[in-house]
Amino acid sequence: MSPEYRALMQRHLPDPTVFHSGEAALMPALMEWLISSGRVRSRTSVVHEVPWLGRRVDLALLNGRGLTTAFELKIGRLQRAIEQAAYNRESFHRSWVVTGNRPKSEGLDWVRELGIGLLVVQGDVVSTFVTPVIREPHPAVVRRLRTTIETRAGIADAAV
Amino acid sequence: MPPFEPFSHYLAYGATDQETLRELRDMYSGILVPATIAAFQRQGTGGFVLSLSATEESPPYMIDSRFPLFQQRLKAPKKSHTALAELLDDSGLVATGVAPTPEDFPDDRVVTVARRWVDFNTGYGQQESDNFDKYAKRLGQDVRPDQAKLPEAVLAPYFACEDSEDPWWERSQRFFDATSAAATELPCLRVVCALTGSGLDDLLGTVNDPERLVVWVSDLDEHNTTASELLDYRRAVENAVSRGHEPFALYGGFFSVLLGSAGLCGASHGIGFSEHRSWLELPESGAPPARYYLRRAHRYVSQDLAQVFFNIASEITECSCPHCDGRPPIALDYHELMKHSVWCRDEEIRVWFKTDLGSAADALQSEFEDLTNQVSTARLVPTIRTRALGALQHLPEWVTALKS
Repeated sequence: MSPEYRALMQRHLPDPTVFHSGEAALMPALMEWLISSGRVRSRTSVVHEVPWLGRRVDLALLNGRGLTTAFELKIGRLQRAIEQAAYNRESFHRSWVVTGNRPKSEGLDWVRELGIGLLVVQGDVVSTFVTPVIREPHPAVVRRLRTTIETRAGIADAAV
Repeated sequence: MPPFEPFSHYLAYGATDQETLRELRDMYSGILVPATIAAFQRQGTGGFVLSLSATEESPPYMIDSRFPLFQQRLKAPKKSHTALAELLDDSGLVATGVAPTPEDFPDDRVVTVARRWVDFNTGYGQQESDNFDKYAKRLGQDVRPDQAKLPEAVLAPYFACEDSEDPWWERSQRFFDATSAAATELPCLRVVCALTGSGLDDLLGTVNDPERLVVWVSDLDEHNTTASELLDYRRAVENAVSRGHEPFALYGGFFSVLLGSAGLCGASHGIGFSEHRSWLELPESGAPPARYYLRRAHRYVSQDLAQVFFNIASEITECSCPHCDGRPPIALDYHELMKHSVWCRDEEIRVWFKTDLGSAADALQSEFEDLTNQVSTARLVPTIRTRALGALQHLPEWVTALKS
């Protein structure tokens, strides 16, 4: 475990015990995966529960190149998470669903058709079922979203 | 435009909406100022409203007493509630213990509050103009405090009433009489707040002489109510008009615009929201949510859902307003959403308000079938399809209410 990994985990998941119930329980393993796979680096802004278009995105990333990624976490009812992820792909460059169960074929078909990604978290193991298609949202949306994430990330960092 | 020149379009003032009110002065007829805001943000609201009234466009304004606030128990009164009570020289209006009863408003109290309310209206501008210059500068026009106008009329304080047997109605009538007697400089308007459309009909039936009056059916959500409720409201308006009244709706959306051909003179709503309101929810307040006004369905939907409609067929969200500027719904920011909504209502009034009810019903039925067909045949995640179809379900209710 590198010092950089430990620093990023400390920064973005200072207290894993907060994420103990419901879909939030998927967060520690997801964050470890994001950091260890290089998707979250030192210049990546990471924000939980981002208010966006009147709802909240479970986890949003903004990387150093300005690309945005959304994650919707769900234990049951994959359809609802797919719906949220489908909305997210209109604003984010990448949109993921993160679930605790292996999806049924219908859900998997929708994920593939919509071009969203699917991660299954079981225990500490994170499996990539589908990789999301990178989209190019409307520039005005991207600008607003970047500002929202940067602002929230700034507030979160200041709180730490 | 005064509230009784059909079809007048009033916007409720909110501190977050100044930009829209300032920039779209030719898209609405007048401003309705909630007394809670007028009392709590006295200088800011006064400066803004008065400077606007001093412009060439000079939109008329009226102040709504929001009096049913004081008809209920206020568990956690806000500063704006106490500010209004203090303005009326009656801090006891804020009832934190038990809910007030009609007996708590004897004649002498009603008369005193009515006089104080009239004084506030007729003196509006004398104590509220400290910030006039600041707002005049934002308008970019050379306006002076002595050009500021008084309110168009005094809206008498009122209570929410079930029907004419409700003891609150007798108190409400007393409020109107007392306010009328005190308002010698300005016309006084009765506000009739009913709990149902049939209740409104009953209440208006007791107002004998023809009047210009303001009507409000509490919580009449045009998009989430039955054809029967809407029909009751329509009948109440038609009956009032047949008795010589000129009704103006304190809250209303597109269905109210359609009732223009039934005799409704105008309607007010908040910018981006508040086309209906429950009297019990008056204590709650807040800024409008960021939503997109979907012209084809004549309602607000989330930007997510508007984008779904855009993806189904871009003509569904096509809009020629300068705020959309040909962009998809998701591209609009908060203030653009608000301005788009005001532009749309103005357009709806210009296009629809003289349409006879039968023709309006036919057009809406055709629109419903067309939109339903487009949503049903599009490839959509099932939950999204359900949501999209759900956003159209008010249309057949409207059709039934208009055709009956």
